[in-house]
Amino acid sequence: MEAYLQWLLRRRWPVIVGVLLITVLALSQARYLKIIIDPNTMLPQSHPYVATNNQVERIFGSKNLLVIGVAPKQGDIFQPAVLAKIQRISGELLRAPGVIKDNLLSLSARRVKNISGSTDGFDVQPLMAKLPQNEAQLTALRQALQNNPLYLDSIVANDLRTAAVIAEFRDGPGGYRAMVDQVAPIIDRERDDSVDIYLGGMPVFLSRIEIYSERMGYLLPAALVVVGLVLYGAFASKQGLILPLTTAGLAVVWGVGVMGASGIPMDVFNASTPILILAVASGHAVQLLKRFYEEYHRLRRQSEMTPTQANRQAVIDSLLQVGPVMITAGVIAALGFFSLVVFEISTVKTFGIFTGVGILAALILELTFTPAIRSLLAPPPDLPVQSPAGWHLADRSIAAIGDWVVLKRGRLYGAVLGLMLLAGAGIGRVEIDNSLKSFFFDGLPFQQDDRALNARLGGTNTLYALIEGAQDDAIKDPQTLQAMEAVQRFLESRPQVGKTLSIVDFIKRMNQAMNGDDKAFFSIPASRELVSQYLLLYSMAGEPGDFDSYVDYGYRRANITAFLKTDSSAYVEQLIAELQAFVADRFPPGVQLRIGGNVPQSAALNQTMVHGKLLNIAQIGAVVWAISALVFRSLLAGLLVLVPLVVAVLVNFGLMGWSGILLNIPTSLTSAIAVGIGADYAIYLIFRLREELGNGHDPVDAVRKILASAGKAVLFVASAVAAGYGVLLFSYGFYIHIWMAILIGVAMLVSAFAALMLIPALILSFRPRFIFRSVQ
Amino acid sequence: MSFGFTKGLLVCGWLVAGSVAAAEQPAVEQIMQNNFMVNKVVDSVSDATFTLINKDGQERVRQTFGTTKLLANGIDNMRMTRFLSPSDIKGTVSLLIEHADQDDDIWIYLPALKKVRRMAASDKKDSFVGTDFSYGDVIGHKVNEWKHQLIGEETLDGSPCFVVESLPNNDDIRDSSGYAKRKAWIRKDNFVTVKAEFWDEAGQPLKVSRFFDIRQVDAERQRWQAMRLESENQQTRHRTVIQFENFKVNQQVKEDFFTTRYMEKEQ
Repeated sequence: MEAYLQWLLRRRWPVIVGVLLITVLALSQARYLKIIIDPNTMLPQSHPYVATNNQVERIFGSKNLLVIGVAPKQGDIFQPAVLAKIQRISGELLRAPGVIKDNLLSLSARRVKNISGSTDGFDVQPLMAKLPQNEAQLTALRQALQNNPLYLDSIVANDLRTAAVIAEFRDGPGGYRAMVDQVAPIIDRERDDSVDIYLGGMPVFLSRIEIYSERMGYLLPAALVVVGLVLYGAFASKQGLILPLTTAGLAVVWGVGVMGASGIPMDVFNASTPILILAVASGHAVQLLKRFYEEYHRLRRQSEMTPTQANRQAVIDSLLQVGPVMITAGVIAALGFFSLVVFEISTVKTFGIFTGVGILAALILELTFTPAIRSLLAPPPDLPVQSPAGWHLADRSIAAIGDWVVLKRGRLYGAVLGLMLLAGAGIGRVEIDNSLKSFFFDGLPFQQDDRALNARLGGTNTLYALIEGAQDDAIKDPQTLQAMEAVQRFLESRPQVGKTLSIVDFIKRMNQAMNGDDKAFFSIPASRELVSQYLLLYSMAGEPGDFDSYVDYGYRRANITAFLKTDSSAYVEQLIAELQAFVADRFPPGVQLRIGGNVPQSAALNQTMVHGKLLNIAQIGAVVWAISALVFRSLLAGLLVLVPLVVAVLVNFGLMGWSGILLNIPTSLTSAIAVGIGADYAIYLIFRLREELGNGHDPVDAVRKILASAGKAVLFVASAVAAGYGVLLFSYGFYIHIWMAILIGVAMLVSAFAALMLIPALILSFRPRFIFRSVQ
Repeated sequence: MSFGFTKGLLVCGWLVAGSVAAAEQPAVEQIMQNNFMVNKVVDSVSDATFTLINKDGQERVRQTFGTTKLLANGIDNMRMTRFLSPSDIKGTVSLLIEHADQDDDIWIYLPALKKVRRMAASDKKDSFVGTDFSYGDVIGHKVNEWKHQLIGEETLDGSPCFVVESLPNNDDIRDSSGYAKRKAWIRKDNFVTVKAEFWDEAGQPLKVSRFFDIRQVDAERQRWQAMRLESENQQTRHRTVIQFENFKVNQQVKEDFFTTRYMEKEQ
């Protein structure tokens, strides 16, 4: 190690240039990285809801649903100007790339047919082939809508005061923003004083996540500045300001570069991962920096070295002492994160690889670039003329912690136990619920649009019930149709379900129309032949593709679309449980019902992500424990390293429970970040304590000493990173960032204080052999 | 009056121009007129298999028995299509009576309902019994409602053909036919269409139809009929194949066949 360091300092210029070249290379690779949401890389493909959803998409073409509502300020929709808007919006959407033409629903869509009947006649005609111009035509349209209730609450509101255009989009390269960007100008052209136009649906929210997440572009630099300022306050030196941040910044760049170069997708859920790398990297940098200052001042006091010589020697000595600890801690953490590649969900894998690479990059930088630069900088002033501003507070805190650890250990354990009980009680209150709507402030314009649409129409979210028989024509069985109808009525009886649509609605309507439009025949015919003949009749009167989104070509599978007013995963999971209990054996043998749709899909994602992230936390914990145990050759040491981590994670969940922050995809990601930080602190403290005990210090003195050195560095880093994350509190409108600021900030501070208090306290209480071995 | 005079002049000029061109080959309107008439047989009986194929290759196969009879005006047909299989639609009958100058009449009989229902006149652009052919395609598009242009000659399936592009005279024709443009490959020897392409109202490519196994079914009247008809919608990738068997003409098909009363009779 020492030979390496001597070599490094001789070759510092090539090393610095080399590092900078690698950084330029990494930056050039970072260009290939884009933050997008690709559901296919995030979704658990084997989850039944996701599998069914994929199947519904494949068979019926349904995908990314956008709802546009046009509501006249005065009167109902039966005004030529309002209908013309619907016609123009529909027409332009049909020409927009990415729109699934066959699935567009609106008054003017060709497949939206008016089924009508008289005593001896029957007809199927487009509902609004031509724009009604006079009162008689408007009345006819109103009558047609009232005769075909299947369109109420879907393309027109029940009160006939809002008309909707429902468009579905294919996944495209531009993500969800491209979909919304296509629709926005089309509806903006139709906005005027006479109408309100609303845009809703899941793609709107997902595109907002994409947009708001890109705030990281300036929030991250701002966080860096805050971290730098806090560290400057702590060390009162430009080195303190610049070097940790440079290391952290370069580590992030290297990580991003590796991601870009290897083509690993960077999804939106990993947009916050750079901050974790920043926290870990600056943690190491500050430990080294702190030790460097300690060594430098020791050398100046105890030797005859000139400042330049002392500077150079301090660079070597500090790395000799801290380097192995840093490598140990870094490798343990990196292995913990790399172990996440075993996860099925790609975003967890990406998180693991990205963080692992970032930590390794930080290690490499701290062993090459940072010492090389440090040896070039002017030596620090001998003794601070005045204690830096941050020291006063830090010293007092450290002294207080020392008192607790040494003198009031019983009360400390009591307090921690109390905190754990409180956190444990909070965990029981944690609600698991994922809802895109809950990620944003209520008052934002797109939230208002969504609320307006859900209040006026069936709903902007979907649940699919896919009915599948054992062979072709299974859907024509009246028993199957009866069961489907029962499912629809059941769903419609639940709150938040605004509308259901299926082939059953058409068959009932045809039965009525073919029987002189008698309301008594608004029912499913008892004979399978008649069902078949109605379907043939409709296919003769309509067009071949009219039913493509309701039933497949062989009449083996049918789709019930339920429009939901909420996108809450907790709600939909309960709904699905109720539905499955209701369905039981209602369908004939061989006919199955399975669930898909955007809300169930998001519930699946939530289940898998939350479950996956909890497992991920457990897995990192296990790896950290195992490797620490190996490094210290003591199972107990492994447990000791885990203590601050476990406390931080428990407090994290406890806080969520008590504050009402939901356990959803973004917050579960945050918890996983918390786990990455705590172990480092413990490892630094344990190594330093062992070192000091090895130097023959009395345990109590050693504890006070390490708290003032390594401990103070931990305190600096934790408060700097917590303050840096605090910047995210200013991400207006976006709860994901705000939750992150709160949860990460708390996790940083809790894991720091847990490490500072519990590691020395437990060591003093239990005097484990792996620490005291070196003493004896 | 001056309008009528001008119009008369134009018509005269058009006729003159037509006859001048005819010295070399028939005028394009004549080609289209011959083409329009070439399958107007006096009457016919046939078995036909309708195969509907969706974009994933799934099929719906329906066997039918059909009769036609030309009305006195020599243009309008009566067409009866009776479904024979699959069994759950057996006995379903559709009856179409064309009217050149007014809306067509369509009746439908559903055996499971045991009722005949009259269907409102359909647009020419509507699907013919659920196939990718429209009523307009089956009945024939009226020659004088379109502007025709001979845009070339090509040999297709071994037969020299005229290539004719047809544009609707006005927006109403465009909207009722569903086509902003048609292009047809018409055999020079017998005026039968062997291929046709269609563009939708917005001008996007809509479908391509092909006609195979073209047989002379009435030598005296120079009537021809394709035994295999295919059409593919380029937007939905839905395809239809109609295969005729036992296509016979001049069978003295009775008028009675084309009544609602007859529809209800089991065959």
